[in-house]
Amino acid sequence: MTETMDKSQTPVVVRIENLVKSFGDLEVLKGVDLEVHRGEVVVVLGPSGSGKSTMLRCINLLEKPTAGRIFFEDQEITAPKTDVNKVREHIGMVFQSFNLFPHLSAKKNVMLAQVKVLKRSKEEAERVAIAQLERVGLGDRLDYLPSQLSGGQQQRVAIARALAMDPHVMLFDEATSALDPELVRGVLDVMREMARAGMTMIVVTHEMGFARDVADRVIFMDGGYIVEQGTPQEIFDHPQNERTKDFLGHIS
Amino acid sequence: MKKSDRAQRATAANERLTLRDILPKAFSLMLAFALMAPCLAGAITVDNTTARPTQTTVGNSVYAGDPTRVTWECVVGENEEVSSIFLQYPEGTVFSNESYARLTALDGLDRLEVDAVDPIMADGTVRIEFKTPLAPGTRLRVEMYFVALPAPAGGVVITGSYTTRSGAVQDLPASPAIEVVGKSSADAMVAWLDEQPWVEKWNSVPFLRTFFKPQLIVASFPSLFKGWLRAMALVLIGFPLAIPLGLVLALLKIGKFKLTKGLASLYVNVVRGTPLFLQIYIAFFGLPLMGITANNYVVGVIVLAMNSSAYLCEIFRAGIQSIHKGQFEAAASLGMNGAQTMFNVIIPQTVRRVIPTMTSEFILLYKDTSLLSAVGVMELMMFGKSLVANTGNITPYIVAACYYLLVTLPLIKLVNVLEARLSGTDGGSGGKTKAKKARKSGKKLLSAISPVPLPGDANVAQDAAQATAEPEVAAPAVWRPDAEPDLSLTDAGHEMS
Repeated sequence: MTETMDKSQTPVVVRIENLVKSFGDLEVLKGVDLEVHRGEVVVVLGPSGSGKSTMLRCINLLEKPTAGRIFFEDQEITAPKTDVNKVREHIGMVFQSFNLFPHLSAKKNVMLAQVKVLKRSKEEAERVAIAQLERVGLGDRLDYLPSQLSGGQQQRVAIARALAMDPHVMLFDEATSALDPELVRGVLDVMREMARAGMTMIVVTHEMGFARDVADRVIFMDGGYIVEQGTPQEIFDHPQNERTKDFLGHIS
Repeated sequence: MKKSDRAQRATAANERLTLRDILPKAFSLMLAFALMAPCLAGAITVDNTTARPTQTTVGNSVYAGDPTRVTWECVVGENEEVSSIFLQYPEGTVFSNESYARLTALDGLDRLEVDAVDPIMADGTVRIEFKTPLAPGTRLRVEMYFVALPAPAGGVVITGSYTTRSGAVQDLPASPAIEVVGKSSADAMVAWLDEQPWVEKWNSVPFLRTFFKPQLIVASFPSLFKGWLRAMALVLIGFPLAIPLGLVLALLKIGKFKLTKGLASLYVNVVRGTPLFLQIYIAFFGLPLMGITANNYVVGVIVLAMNSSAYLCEIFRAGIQSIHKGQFEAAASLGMNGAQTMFNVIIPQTVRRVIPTMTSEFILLYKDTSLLSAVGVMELMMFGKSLVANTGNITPYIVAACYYLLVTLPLIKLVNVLEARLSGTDGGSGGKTKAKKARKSGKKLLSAISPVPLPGDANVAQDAAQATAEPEVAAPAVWRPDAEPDLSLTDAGHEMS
């Protein structure tokens, strides 16, 4: 995999060191280390409760780590005086439940943060919004309200909304899990296209096909640890860890 | 003839002037007086005119065309004696066969005998000749009985002239105006009802007469209209003032700062934990004791607004907290700060959700304006109260109830439609048919509110509604910015299951 080799030489976008996260007495992450390079697509697999989503949410500080450090492009964002909003500007996130703003049209959903956070002019924000919505195949749905769109379309609007902020990394938190099977493909196609375009992506998913096709690296998490990682071929075809084997055995 | 006349009058009203044999008129007494009288200061003054309210209808008004008693008073100037008075009532004044005049003269508190010929009444004028001229400083009261007044613009003003002992004729100063109300169609209808046999029959039933007297229903509606306008003004000014106040309180309560949070909670709990009636008493009797005096309506509006803001605070708080936490997270993930999230994402969604409960609160506040009648603010209830006091009949209260219902019934209907629409909506992915159905029913009425289905659980809106219906029960906290670990725990738990 020459492509993978190339990407490991690019600068590190996200580095996680010994990340621990507890909710009360419950320790969900027990010490996670991870480096994600620019342009890399990392797919995180693992059973429910393994801590994948929590790890993802720690990266843009939706969860406050209990211990450990997270770096975003050489800046330690777990440092006490970090401007959290500033960091989040550059980290796009796509949620399982879309979380579109229901009172705003697709276009306005994509425009809002551009205008408020990036201080772009309305005209520029609109131009970017239209371009991003066209990119995700919704150029004809600009003025639709979220309620007038299918789940898959809503998720694509959510992706466009994140992309419009020019993120340096995109986090996908089970982006297709809430979708009807026939709508999953549209969203995955958009994600594939993003990967081809060189976007750095950390993807929590249960879509094994997507992981196999698109991932540069697959991470398998269980019990709050990363138990195994490698190329899709390594993980899917020759898993080393028993729990990985067990998990993949159940899935496929 | 004179004697019998006198006896007759005396029985009719014993205070009537007594007639005497004509005394020879002294002519030349003080020529100087006659010459000087016109230029003397302290000529006759007219200081009081009143008309007794007519009885045919409610209220304290004098109605045009109803026979009434009109009183006119003057004080003779210091340096003159008055030998005759000519009173001119406005055009349209009608004396009937029953009409008569009664004269009273007073010197200070002592009654004087009035020595005059019978007043001559014709065409709205009265001429009174005094056989003994009125002495300087005498107060003369002329009461005209059974006079039907017209209703000229500016009120009824009595003018005329008088003659001094010396024979000089002077104009009387114009009297203060008497307010006379023209007969309205309601009055005409009352008069018509008075003559209907079925009305008589209806009124012979004590219950119907006491609560639903037709004449009073007809007469009360126009009288109470003014009160209704004032009640509307109180709530239409008070409620919009309460909205920003309630929003600020809600944001403080949700916010992170312990001190402002505590103060807002204290305010809301104290206001919601005490009767509005008591708050009104404190404001209306307490402020004057502190030397603060303000217009009753201003104080009333302020008390209503302050009271309502506490309830609105809880409505807004429940509304904001009913917004799915994903909305906060999505905004945060885009780098939006708390204020940007609140004003661009959360509050616009909250507005739609809280409109039904806010409308309910508006209804409550509108009804609560009636409590201001306890401290004498003239509003709908107070107008009804005075009519009830005047008539000894409950019907005006029933009419007042109609005025309250006039506003509350359509609003209650509106709340029902809004709530049906809200509970029919669902998150973006599901519940579409329900949303569409609800939209269909609500759209016509609610073109002002764009038909956007709401995210999250449909029950949250219901929860918000219940939070107002039973203020003690707090709405479930869906999102608490100061308690993130809790939320995440639920999230993690969800993921584990």
